[in-house]
Amino acid sequence: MKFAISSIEMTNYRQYKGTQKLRFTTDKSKNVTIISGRNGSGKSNILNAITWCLYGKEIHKKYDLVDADSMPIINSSELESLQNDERSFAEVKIHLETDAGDWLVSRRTEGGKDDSGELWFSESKLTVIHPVGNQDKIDTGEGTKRLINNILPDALESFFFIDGEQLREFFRVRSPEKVADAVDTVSQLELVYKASEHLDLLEKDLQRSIIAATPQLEKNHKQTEFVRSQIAQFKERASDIKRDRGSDTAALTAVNEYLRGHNLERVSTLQYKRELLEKEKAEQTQANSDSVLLRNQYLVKVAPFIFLKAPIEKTYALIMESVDKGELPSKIKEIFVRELIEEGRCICGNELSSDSDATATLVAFSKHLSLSELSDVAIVGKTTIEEILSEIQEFPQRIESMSIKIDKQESRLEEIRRDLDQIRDDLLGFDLEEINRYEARREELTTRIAEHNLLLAELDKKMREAQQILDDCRKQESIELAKHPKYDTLKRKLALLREIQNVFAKTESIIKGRIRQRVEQKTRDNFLTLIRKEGAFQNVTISDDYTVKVQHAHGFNVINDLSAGEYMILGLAFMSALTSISGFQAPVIIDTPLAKIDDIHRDYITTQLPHFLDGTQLILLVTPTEYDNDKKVKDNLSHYLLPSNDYMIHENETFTISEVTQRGNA
Amino acid sequence: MHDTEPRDIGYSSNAVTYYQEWIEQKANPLFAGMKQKDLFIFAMALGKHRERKSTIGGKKINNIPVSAITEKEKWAVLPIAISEENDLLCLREEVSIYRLAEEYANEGIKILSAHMEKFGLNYPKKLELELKKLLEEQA
Repeated sequence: MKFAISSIEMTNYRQYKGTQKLRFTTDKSKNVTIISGRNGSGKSNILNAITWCLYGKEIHKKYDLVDADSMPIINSSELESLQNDERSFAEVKIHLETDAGDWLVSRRTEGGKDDSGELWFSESKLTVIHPVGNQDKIDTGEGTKRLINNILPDALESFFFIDGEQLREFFRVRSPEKVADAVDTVSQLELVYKASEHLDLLEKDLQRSIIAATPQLEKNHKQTEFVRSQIAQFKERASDIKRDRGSDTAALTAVNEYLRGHNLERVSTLQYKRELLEKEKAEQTQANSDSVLLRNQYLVKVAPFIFLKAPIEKTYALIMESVDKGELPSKIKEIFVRELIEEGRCICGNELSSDSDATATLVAFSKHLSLSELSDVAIVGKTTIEEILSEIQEFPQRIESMSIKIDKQESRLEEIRRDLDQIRDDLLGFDLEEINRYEARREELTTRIAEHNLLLAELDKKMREAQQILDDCRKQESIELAKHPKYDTLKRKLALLREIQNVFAKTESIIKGRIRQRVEQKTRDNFLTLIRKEGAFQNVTISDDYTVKVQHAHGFNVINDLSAGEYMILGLAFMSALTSISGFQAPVIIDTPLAKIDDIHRDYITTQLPHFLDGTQLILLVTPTEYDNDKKVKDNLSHYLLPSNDYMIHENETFTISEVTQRGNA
Repeated sequence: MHDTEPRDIGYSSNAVTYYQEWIEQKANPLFAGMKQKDLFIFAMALGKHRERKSTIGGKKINNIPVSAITEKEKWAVLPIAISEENDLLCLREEVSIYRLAEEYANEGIKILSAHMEKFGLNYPKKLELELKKLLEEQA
């Protein structure tokens, strides 16, 4: 179902005291809405108001209503003005235009002061009024969420309602898990997952019914249960570690940026140098690993020939001897001569007795001819052995040059490690406590990320081992069941169940693979359309392990070297790919889409994006620096902007209350 | 051309761990990313080099299709029997040649396993030196 937002009404929601109403005119070609406000004026809270109303969560904040220290949803001035035993509320109402008619979605929370002046808050309540037949139907309560999920599922919301800052950071911090999660979400495999869970339960039930059948089955069942719970624990642990690694990686990126942008030149230079060295270290490590692999593959291939040099040379000598004797090649079939001997008569009619000279000659000749039948094999063997012997001869020189290369790479890596240690020591001993603290934090984060990686590798190994045990248990169970004919039906049921489980696993893998390819293709197309330097990039790829690479015109992967604007464009390209593949047609709302982006990319984004999302309502929450003070951006967006969709946020003198007005109506 | 070669060759079920794990383990110093046939030919050559062979007792896993072995690799297998028979005629019946290869590989894999355990990550370096020395001695 396609929908657009026609109005938002906020009452006492955060800094919006009283009721604020924003009406949006929906127009296919003029699809942009601008809401401009200074940092802290309440732009992000308009985005929060939308996600809170629809899904009961604010994408910008994570807090609990009952946490006394956090800012409540109900406007704080409104709460302040309440007497004891008085109450108030916060409410957000959103009118949606859908192709099935108009909807009104509202969420309301109440709060107030008790008789001792303590604040209290109620759980929020969702109400949806939507057309059913010729009438409007009112649904309330959290069960109503399913209605919202029908027009835009909760899981997909973050691809439509976007925090610009988070979008810029999406690819800056390398996290294939986030890309994998996004592809997983957009694949909408919930039904497959639920069906798989159901099959697992069914399998457990069936196994439970046979555990007492034989001691072996009981033992087997116990082991299966144990390994299953182990696998579940491993998966949970891996997911926790990945989450921690993600936040540590983001924190490390922030520390690196702080040091790189520091106003003390010595600090920023050291950090810059470190980043270059780390990049070189990664390249050298990869090159070294490739060289070692190449050397090892060569050793595995050539060692058998060297070990077998003597038998190979002897074989070669035997072949050469046969060639010299003229035994190879010949066209006469040995079987023909053998038949003559067996029959005891030559084709000319003469008798061939067993003791005749003619027969003796034929016997000797038959051996000669046996060799001739092997002439093809032997001649190929001769040439192949010549190649092998030449390869053996080349070995000392070739392996020497491989080893020299590896040694050089290893000594360069050692130098890099020493230089990196030196930079760390310099920053830890720097004459500024703040720098020492940041460096120590950096060290701590780097160590932790390495530990996370190690733990994940160990868990991966354990999971594979556990899966192997589980497979063995299933085989054993099948063997044991086969011994008892009365369990035939059960055995067949289990076999069928496992076959279906395999089909589901394959289905999941195929769908995800295809979705990944579609996301890759669309991200690439979008990126190459939106990027200013279209000639500088040739490709964007998402590999099987969800690693994203941006390929420079000369083939290098430059994912770690993009500018802020290019990261933003990559993020937008990716999100646009996800929104279009998701199949849902909903408004796209972006908070601070142009911050920290150079003029040229601002120009590009504001020229291309509305056109790019043609027909989709695009609401941009911008700062005056991004929009009002940038003539080019304003001009670009004016082509897609109706005056009635141009809003400004104003704050009161104490910056505690904000209001939104149409531009020109302030 | 090799009309009489067997369809598959195999190894003892006792060696399954080596054949399956070594080639899969990213950390294996030598065989990571290689194929079972590479490991088989390596073990066979090592077994022959040490003149150690044994028949496969117990269950045999016929997991290596001979069609996957290249012509060049076949000429590591065939010379073992040819040199022992001192006659090219044994090429008329390649099944026996491959059975002999299995016997050498059966012992070779044990020697290899001991080497791996002893030298660990340094095994490739150790092998490189051994091969160089071997060629020097034969020169």
